Amino acid sequence: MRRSRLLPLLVLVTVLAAACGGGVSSDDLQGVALAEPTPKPDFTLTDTDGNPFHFAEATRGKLTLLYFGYTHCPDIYPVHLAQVAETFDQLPQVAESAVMIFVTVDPERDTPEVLRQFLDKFDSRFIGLTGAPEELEAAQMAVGVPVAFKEGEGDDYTVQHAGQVLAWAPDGLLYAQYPFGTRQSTWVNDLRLLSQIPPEEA
Amino acid sequence: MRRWLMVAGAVLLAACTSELSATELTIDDPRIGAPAGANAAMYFTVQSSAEDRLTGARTEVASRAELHETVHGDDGTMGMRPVEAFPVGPGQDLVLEPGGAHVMLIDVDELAVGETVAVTLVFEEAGEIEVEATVVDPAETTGDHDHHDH
Repeated sequence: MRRSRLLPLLVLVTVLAAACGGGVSSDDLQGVALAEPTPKPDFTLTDTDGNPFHFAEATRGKLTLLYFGYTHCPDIYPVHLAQVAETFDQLPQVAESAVMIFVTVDPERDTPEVLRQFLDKFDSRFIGLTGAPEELEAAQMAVGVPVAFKEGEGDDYTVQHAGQVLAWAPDGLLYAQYPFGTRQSTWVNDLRLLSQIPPEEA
Repeated sequence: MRRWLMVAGAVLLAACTSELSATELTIDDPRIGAPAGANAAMYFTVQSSAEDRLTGARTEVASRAELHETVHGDDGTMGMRPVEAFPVGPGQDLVLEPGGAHVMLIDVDELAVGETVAVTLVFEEAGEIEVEATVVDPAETTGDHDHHDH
């Protein structure tokens, strides 16, 4: 039983190694690489134009970066977003087939207009998503990050949320996470590598 | 060794009793990440030869300025909480940097990269000190040195 389960895995590894040809392995990634890449989850939220955004379908075959945050927090997200924007500028061919998605965990204050305005400050290609609180919670659970929660009261509440950016390669697998403090050179190195992993059904 | 210490002590004593207080407080590299949303974060490093506390800040470009700290949860989450004061003193530099202590500028004006902004920092002992903060790209708020993992 054990042995037969191992065999397909071995075949898969071999196929992957062959497919990667160029030598993309998790050892070359500088982000926090997963021991074993995991498949992309699915959830549906609403984009800044008010259209439904089916995550798995809309990002199929693309290098996909995902971050949960909120625009009132000026300390963490701007660094992440500015670094990704800078990487997109440096690697235009990578940017063409990549998506950066920012999901708000503060739908109350982050209206679609607020989200759009703020993402445009970094890169107008960045996608902003929002939804009802229960939809946002479901999305975070599907992705496997701790669900954000509100702290404090009144207008000045803050939100405790996952601090990392998650990266799925074009083959739909999550290879690595990028916590706060990731260097610009790591982004450039990893996004270039991840974008070279061919889509599942080329 | 002991004699050196005594000399040093005497010099220090002399310095402290002179009319001009020897207390020195410097603020280095004041910078603000260009705001994309309603708020912006300001960072700098304070060195002080005497015990002191940073208790507040104000600037004309924001409705309010508050001392905040980013807290890292065990589960990889991050959050922010207001802080009453940040201590500083000999051998204890106060470093405000992304992912940690910062001055949060609430309801801030549009600020362009390269612009300078006057911000008044309030210290318990040293009083009010005005600094000129430079608006920088958020990716560059991490400072001159490479960010290292803690």
